[in-house]
Amino acid sequence: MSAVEKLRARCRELLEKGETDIVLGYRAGRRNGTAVPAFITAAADCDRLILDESCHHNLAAYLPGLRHKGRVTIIAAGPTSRSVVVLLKESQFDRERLRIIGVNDPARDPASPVSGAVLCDEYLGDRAGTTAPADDTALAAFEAKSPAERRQYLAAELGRCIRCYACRQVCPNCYCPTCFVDASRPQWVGRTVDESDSLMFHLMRAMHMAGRCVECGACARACPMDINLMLINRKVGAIVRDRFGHVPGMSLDDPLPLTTFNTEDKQEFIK
Amino acid sequence: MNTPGRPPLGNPYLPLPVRLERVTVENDARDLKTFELTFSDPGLREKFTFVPGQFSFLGLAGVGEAPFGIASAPHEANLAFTLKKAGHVTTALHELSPGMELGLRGPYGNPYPLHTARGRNIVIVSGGFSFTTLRSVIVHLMRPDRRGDYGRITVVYGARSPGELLYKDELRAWEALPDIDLTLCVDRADGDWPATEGLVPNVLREVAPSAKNAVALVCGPPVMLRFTHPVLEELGFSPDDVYLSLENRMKCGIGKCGRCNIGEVYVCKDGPVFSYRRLRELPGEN
Amino acid sequence: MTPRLLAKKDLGRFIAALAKEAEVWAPVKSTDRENCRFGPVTGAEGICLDCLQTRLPVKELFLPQREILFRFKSDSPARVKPVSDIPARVVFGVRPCDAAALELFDRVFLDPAGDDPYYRHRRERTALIGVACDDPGTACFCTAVGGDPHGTAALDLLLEDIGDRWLCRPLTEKGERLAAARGPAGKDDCAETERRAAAAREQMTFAPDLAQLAEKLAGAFDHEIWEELARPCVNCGVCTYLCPTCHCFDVTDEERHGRGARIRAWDSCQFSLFTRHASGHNPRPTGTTRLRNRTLHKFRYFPHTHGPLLCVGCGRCIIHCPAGIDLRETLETLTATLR
Repeated sequence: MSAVEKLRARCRELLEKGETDIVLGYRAGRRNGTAVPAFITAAADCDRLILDESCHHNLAAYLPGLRHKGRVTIIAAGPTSRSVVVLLKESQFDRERLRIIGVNDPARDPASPVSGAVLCDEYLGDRAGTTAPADDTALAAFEAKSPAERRQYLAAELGRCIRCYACRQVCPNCYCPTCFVDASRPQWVGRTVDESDSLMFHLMRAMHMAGRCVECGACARACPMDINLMLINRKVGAIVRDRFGHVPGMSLDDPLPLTTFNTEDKQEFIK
Repeated sequence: MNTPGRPPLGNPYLPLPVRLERVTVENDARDLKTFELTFSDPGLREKFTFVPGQFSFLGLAGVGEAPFGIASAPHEANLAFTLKKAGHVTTALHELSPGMELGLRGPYGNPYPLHTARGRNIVIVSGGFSFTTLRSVIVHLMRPDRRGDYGRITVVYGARSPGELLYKDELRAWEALPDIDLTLCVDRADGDWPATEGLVPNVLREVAPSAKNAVALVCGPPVMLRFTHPVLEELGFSPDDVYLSLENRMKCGIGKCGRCNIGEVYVCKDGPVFSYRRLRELPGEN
Repeated sequence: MTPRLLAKKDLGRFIAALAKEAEVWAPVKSTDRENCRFGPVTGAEGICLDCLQTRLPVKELFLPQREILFRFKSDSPARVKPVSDIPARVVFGVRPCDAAALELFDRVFLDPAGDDPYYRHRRERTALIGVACDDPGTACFCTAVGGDPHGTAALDLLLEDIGDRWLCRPLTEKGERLAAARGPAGKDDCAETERRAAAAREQMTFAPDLAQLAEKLAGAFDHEIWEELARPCVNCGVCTYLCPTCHCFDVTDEERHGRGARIRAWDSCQFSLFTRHASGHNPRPTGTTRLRNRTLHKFRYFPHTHGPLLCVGCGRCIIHCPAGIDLRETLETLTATLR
């Protein structure tokens, strides 16, 4: 039996035995080489599940929306599983109602250093290694620039933003009922594509991701304007690693760095 | 008078400057205020014609604008609007004092069918602060030179408490008049106002205006509308003789910005007044 | 009108000649990416005709994402200064689907009952030179929605590839003037474009009965299928912002240091704020209701009011949907499910 056949059989079994109400996985899209997140509730539909390089979506993004829809089984490779960990730690989903079938990342996205699931109830096949992200050369090159050059680069990248919010909507960590950009009383950020508005949106969002972003790359893949969003996320990730020795979503037991006070925290910014 | 008024300017997005003449606080909670306005260019008042039921946008530069039903009657010198402090535009407008200038666009939308209602009895049903455009209707119908064009006028108007009723001085005056049959109702009565306790639909059932040769004009919050239809049906009103005024979020007022649609109609240009028959054909999305 | 010929090597001179009379816009590659967008040009340099379509449709030149309606000074709020004129423009390299969308915009913005002066001005000041498609992409389906890879809607001049030259088909007087300096084309050249157009049409096999679907959709508002269709949707604005026919907008004020402007900015029916009242009440509170509205607007409401569908089959929503939703599949599912 191939890996995907095993997956289908296992999900069918879970639905037939009533151990889960919904399977959150992938099905084939209409166009060759594309996948669509699948929400399977009938055992017979498990044949539609696929697991190949087109399965790049971070399925954890759908969990907050399934909070009141019964018991969920999620197919989770490395990036999805790390986001699940973050959501569980932030009490956005009930662990008791979640079954995680771990898989090795079929999309093998180079943006994600983690391939195998970090947290699961069962694993499909041989579990691939789990490696923490490393500092990358693109970030080093960016940091080598002068502050003016860095600002210019960010303004050019973020200047292409069309404020479609695809980055925010596909992000499992963006689950606020009202995003700060949508608040109108007071309105913190303008709604147009004026450079200052776009910078404000992306940089505030990056700040909010600090200590939470698992660098899955979903935002960058979703961006229709090809904005290099991962540069900002990697920078934030590097700061969190440096300051708090924390890599988000690797373990359920780590304290969340920005909501936990530690007397050892660096505080040289207080002068 | 048969055709609804249309904006006097070519560019529909340019507001006309208006001056705030008078502000009246309408309720105990002080979140309902009536603004009386005059055009900064006095020649514009004559060009600005409307029929009760139409609406306009009021706005402040730097803040934005929002749509409001016109509460004054066409023959009144000042334009009047009653605004509830809710969003950021109404919050800013509530800060204004007389003498200040603001912007007005309009009039927009289709009015109550007063021309086809000539010679018929008029039943007015309203709840909360959406009474505004129906005040325009009443004042319009009560004009001595027009009053003979219509039959009996029955009004059922309700609010949460007596203090929340709009236009209290006028309501008192109308109560004393023989040719308008006004019933006020509140969720909770208190000492200083002799209003009936009860919800608008229930009170309407008790008042039981005859459907014979009558047209009903209805405006209120969605929940009131939902429970008022069945009562009007019970009373024998045909869906062709019940007219409702709807509200939806809108930005342009001219059917372009795309957000106020219910099915294929736009509340701004195909409404805000719809017959119940028309409304029944539309998806239940309001 | 006589078809004419333009040698591809003469494109630079052709554009330069146009640029003497008007501002010329064409698809240009932005920085180091394949993300093409309409930008100003003065010659052939930078123009990208290799990519199938610009990431953002040509609508951004007629309904800009951010447009100033008027400027004001805060101390005299009522004295507004309307926006100034734009120069005459020629847009080169428009795909027939994107151009066809402008005819749909015309029905909304040039409505005699409520003319939009900003759109009208941009439309009247602009000539459109189209480039026909001989090699549609895997998400293209213009033929299914009344379009054609060599379609002429809204264009003044259509360029059709015939090897090392384009056949230039003038469609309006404006177009005739633009091509006046070119030599006439022969019968064989025209036959070649016919052959290529037919081959391009062949490549697009999606052919649902959308007139029948529009009828079915009339009674489908409360159907449970919408829930299923909307599940993968993340409620972002990609499909609406990249759509050549989506035209919903917001009006908002910007102000800094006592000066400001009223701005019209694109908005999306997929955002929950789009319809939310100040009271908090929202007629379309869920992703399902919003996806349903977008689909019905395109395939039921708009055709009911105006005739044509509000879709030109460009496929951008399909290619760029972060969830991988394929509008063709949505239409197939609806056709199969609804009675």
